[in-house]
Amino acid sequence: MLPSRIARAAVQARTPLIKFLGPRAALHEAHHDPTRHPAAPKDAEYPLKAGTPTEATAASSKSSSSAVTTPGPHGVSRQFFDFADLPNRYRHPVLTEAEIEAVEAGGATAIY
Amino acid sequence: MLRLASSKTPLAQIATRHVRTLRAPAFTSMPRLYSTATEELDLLVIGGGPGGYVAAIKAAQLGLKTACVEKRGALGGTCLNVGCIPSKAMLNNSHIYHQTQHDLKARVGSVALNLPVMLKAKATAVTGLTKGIEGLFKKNKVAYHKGTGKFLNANEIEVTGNDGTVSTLKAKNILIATGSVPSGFPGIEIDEKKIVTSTGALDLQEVPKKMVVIGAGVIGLELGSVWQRLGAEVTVVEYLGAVGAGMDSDMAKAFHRTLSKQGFKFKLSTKVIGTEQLADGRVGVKVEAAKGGNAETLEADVVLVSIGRKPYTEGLGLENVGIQVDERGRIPIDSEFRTSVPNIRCIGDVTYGAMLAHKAEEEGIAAVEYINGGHGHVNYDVIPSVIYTHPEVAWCGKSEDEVKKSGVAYNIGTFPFAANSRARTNADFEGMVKMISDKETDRILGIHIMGPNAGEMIAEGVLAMEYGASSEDIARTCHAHPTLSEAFKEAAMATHDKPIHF
Repeated sequence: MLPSRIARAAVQARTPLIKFLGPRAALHEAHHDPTRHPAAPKDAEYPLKAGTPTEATAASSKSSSSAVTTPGPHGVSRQFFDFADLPNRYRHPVLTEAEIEAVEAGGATAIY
Repeated sequence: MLRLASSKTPLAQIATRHVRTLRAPAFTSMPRLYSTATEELDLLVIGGGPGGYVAAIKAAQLGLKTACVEKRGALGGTCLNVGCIPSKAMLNNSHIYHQTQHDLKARVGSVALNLPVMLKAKATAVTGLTKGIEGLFKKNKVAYHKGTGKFLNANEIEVTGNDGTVSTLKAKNILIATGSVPSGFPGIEIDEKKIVTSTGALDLQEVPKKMVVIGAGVIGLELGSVWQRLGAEVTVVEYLGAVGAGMDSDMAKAFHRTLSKQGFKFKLSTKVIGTEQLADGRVGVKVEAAKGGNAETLEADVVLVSIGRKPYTEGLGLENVGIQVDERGRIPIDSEFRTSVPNIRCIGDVTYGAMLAHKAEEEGIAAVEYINGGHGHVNYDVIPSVIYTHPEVAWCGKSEDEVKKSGVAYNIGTFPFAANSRARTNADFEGMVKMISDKETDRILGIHIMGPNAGEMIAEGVLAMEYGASSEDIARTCHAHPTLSEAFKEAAMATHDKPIHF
């Protein structure tokens, strides 16, 4: 082989494209935000819009599916509902994050 | 929070019993007692198929309190119960039978089919694997609820157990993984006896003399293969002009030729008009040319309708949380699998992308990683597809038609299995490997294989493409001799430069 060819071969030594970049934990992970799904059709709506829950459907499905009829004493049938099925006005008010925090952190001292 | 006092967990009971006697500092030093005693889950997965069960296990491994609701009564979804796994059991056994009957006849004498035993072997494989997932759930502490889940609101799911009991599960995050069901054909009523979907085709109690398959996609060709090997005369009717679910057109032509040699009859560019009950109890399938023309009736003992699958959301109560499906019944999601309700995510067949078990598994893990605050990864450009006929067909990345359409200059390299020593030794050398790379950078854009064990071989191509390899990278990687994988290396050599053995 001619010296010039040897020199050219050395310069053209191949570097594989696949390279080990180091342990994954050491790699910087870029910040990510949700975007359009890569497999979504081009005409698909984005950002996604939340629909309105159909409360009537929800309420009716609940009452029809979770009510339990149990034979009571003296053969009288009684219908029971789960507490969670009661309308909102019979439920405990929803606690705010601040209220939950207050109960968890200091509210317990009120007991003593 | 307010239910804690009545919670039955041991710690909560102790707290309730001693609440008046405990000193304040001791009690307030355990603030998490309240929050850990709640019944709220970190993640509730609806659907125990390949996407759902994998997501549930991964979530539990990451320390999330997880439950999975599945209505079928067995985990594994369509894939394990009435899809990939039972069909592979039937494909494997029917291949052995066919090979023994034809290729090995001179060596082993005559063989006879025992279909009930073959079906039992399929059932054993399915049961073993589904029970195995139940074992994995126990090992990873995933709560398994056998029943149907329905949204009450964005955090509560009503579960109607298969035994009729009704309960409500509460979860911070909910993952929809309800999968898909076979699409029906307008005007054709499925009875799963004579007119069947893939589910019925996996459980025929006798070999039909004549079988008509509507749709030349993956399911139709695989199940058509099973019954054709066992003795059925199979005719495949396809509306499009090619077989094979959108595979590379070169491969589709070669595959069509190979299946025809095996005895398949094809009616491409043909549309099905309807079916009728014939006087002898068989089914007539009325067809005509897709562009219009003379109609004819194909007679069949069994008709397999395999025109695709559709997302399954029936009874899920999506309306109760305001999630709307798109025109194809899919649940829209963003890149992190969130639906329009942020704490409800969705993966698998019921949303965008290919309806493949392995794609759903990848999404399940990625979705859970996002829920856990990490970064999930699914590369939709490199999801492999496989048709488990014989020879198998497998591909990943872009087809030549797609590359051509994109306008990118490209190189192509092919290598036939007829020039591979191991394939010749096995006397099983139908097919080839085709590789497409970017002409400028040599980066691989697509890999298409038809041949023995193509479904296993494609894994090498998927790995290479995931890492962004060039065809030269593969060509310069040592492959064992004598193996079928040398054909893969030679195709890479043909793409980058020239093959040695062809």
